[in-house]
Amino acid sequence: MQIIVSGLIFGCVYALVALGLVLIYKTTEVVNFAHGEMAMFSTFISYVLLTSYGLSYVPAFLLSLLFAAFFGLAVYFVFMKRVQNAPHLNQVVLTLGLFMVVNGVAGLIWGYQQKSYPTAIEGKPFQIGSVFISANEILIIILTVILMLVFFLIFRFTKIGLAMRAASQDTMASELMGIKVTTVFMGTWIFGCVLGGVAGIMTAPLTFLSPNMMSEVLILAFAGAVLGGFVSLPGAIFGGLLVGVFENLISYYISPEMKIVFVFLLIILVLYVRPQGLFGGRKLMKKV
Amino acid sequence: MLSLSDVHVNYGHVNALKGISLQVDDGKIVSLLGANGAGKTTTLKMISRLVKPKKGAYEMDGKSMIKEAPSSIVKKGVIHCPENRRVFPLFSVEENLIIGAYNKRNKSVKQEMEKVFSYFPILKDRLKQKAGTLSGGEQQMLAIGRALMGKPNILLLDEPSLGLAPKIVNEIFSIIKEINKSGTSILIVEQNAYKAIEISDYSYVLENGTIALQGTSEELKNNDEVRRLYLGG
Repeated sequence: MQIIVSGLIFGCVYALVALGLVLIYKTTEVVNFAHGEMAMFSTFISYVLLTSYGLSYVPAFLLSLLFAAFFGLAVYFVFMKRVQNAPHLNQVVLTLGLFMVVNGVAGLIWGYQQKSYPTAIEGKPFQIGSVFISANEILIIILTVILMLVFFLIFRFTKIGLAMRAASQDTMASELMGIKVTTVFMGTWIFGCVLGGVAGIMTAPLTFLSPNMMSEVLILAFAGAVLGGFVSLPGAIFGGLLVGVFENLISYYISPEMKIVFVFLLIILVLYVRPQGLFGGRKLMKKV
Repeated sequence: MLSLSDVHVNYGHVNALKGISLQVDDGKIVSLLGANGAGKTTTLKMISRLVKPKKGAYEMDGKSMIKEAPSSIVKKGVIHCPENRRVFPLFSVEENLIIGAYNKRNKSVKQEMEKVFSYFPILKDRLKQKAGTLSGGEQQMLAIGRALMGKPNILLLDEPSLGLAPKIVNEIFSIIKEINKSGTSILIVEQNAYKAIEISDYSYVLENGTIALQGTSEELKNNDEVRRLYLGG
């Protein structure tokens, strides 16, 4: 039981990263490989705000999310908007390049040695039934649930949500409805990066802070997103949680080194049986 | 009134439009005829500013629209109902109609929807159904209904008869006429020249990106070349 709960906590982080990935992919059809690195950069910003400027946790958290939003905006306008009509492969390679650039810049500024990052809520874990859980871990779960709900509500009931769902189906028809697709894409990048920022700040206390902290998280979140079908937001969340739990079970019963191997084995199995992923049932066929 | 004069559009090195001039007067139905690749769809796409003209003038009620974005063209009441219907397949019929009124205030949406149902009662029965599961004719009705939700002054229709059974084509054309009677100007692109000439006040025939022929419906119907090429004898 303890293993499952700890897995769920990691799973929440994967789910948040996966949610950002899927959000950007679903709307703009670009897999953002720089997603984890951008999240890492925002986390470093929050670290600087916390340590060098002595801000308390909540303002540092919010300011770094504001930074994440601007970061997403900048990446969209400086890089992605210019290649919007290029083949998707080119766009994906661009995000790979960004991955390396952001990683390198963070290394240059802050160095590669690991730093410890404070948790949002200090305190010893307490016991619920047979499970030990800390207040911070509960916060991670609550935050994930809240963010999921917020995104669900935005998508389902707001005008911008309607526009995002429309743009993800047919950008040309969306333009003809009077939707400013550029604005929608921009919004998607901002939302995605803020989600990534939250995930980064939640990850840092668990893994230590370093420019490479998000690479494994990104891979596993990616795995979670693929499991969920890569176009479904609930799928991303479910996939993330599943990967978290599965990984923790493998670490405990087999060995921690084997966890990634088994996670990918799980993905191969799932995709073998259900190529569209667990939630990707309604794949859109584009008419030519 | 919408007018184009000497509009050129290039796709890379291909000149799709080589100097098109046309005019849609208020309250009229104007049709654009011609073979595949003549530039009919490109003309509509240029009007809704999905493609950029290389040169030429584009005016709406005396104001130049050449620099406007697609969303502001929509706000001006020029609504483009694209080729192949392009309804949002994962949206319900209702959501498709709501998004048609994306730039409108929420209050008028219900009212407009009722208006659309008066033209296409079948959409009311299918309200909660996903648009992707509708038949071709129903999708075309939804596409036109969706365009009407934006309260068009000028409705651009691209091949509304494409791939539909003759009976449904007749139905759709008579509704197009009704829509026009309620005050909306219509610019219609059609392969089915006979049908289009029948309902329109004025027609242009496109050939290789230029206007080869134009005239009122009567004139075109009696034109030998048009009869031979487009009306089948």
